[in-house]
Amino acid sequence: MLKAAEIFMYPYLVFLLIFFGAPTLLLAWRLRREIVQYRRTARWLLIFVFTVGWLWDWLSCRTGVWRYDTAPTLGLWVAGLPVEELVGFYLLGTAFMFLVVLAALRRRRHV
Amino acid sequence: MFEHYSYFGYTLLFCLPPIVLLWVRAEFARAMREDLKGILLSTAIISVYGSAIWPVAIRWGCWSYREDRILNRKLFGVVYVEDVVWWVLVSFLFASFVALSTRWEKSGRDVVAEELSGLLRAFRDAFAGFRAVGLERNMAIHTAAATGTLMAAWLFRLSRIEWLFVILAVAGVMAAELLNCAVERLAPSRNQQWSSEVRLVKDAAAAGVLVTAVAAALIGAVIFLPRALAAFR
Repeated sequence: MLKAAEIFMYPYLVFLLIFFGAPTLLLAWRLRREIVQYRRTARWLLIFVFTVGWLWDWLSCRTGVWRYDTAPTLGLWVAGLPVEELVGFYLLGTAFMFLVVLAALRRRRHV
Repeated sequence: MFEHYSYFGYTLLFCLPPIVLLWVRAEFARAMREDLKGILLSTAIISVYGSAIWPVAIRWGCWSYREDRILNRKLFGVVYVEDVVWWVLVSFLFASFVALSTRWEKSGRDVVAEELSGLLRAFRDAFAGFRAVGLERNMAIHTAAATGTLMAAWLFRLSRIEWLFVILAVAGVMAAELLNCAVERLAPSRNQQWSSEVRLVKDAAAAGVLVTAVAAALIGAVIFLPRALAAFR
């Protein structure tokens, strides 16, 4: 288990928690009813992100467009990508974008 | 793969097809247009936010780009142009899909499941259409000719380009013959009462087959004749 101080050794994890985790939590609290109402849409988004999104990410890594250093990550690699990217960015990033869109749509058409 | 355009290229490659898929369908576009302000607003919010935090991630060493894979141009000297394009396209795609899917879901429908089952049904119907192969004399002749051509192509060890021509020629003739078969079935029997338009439609479909068959024969002659002559000499 990670101690609190050790977390700052993993900037990617901290980055995801601060910039995606926090706003996602806030939005999720505000839009908790809509999330339940539109869980099918959320499920499809996650399926697309974890299939097509992963392929895109993997291809970009493989052909050297971007690369993740092992040092600032937890060091756990799954399917060619650091675990933060797969669990953190795919999950939190998708949730964040989904919730921002829901919030914008709610203002316009009361989803 | 695309050198300096790699990041840019991948972004376009992975984002534009699904965006086109969503927006080219009149039914979908109509539904999404009703939420256009929401879509554009959320795209703007996510794009600005994402473009603002990405340089932080890069400065913190979360990931890095290879200089020969990006354009190395920064917007306002802060964020890579490709990152901005990535956020705009990805968020627009997300927003379009969420707007469409939530609208469907609100009325108890699942847009992706419906599309997938429709696609599956279309494939099933298309495969069922191959029944026509056994029903028409000309279809049987073309199928036999196609089998012979493909066997000859394999035996003569054609080059990749030659294979492409042979496959296109065979597929063209078979497709034309299947369409002709469909037209024939719509106006099945020889009937003196046919209007001249129906006769013209049937004749034109048959002429279409003839054109593709002649083209295929010429392609076959160009590719196979020199080899056949050399083999028998």
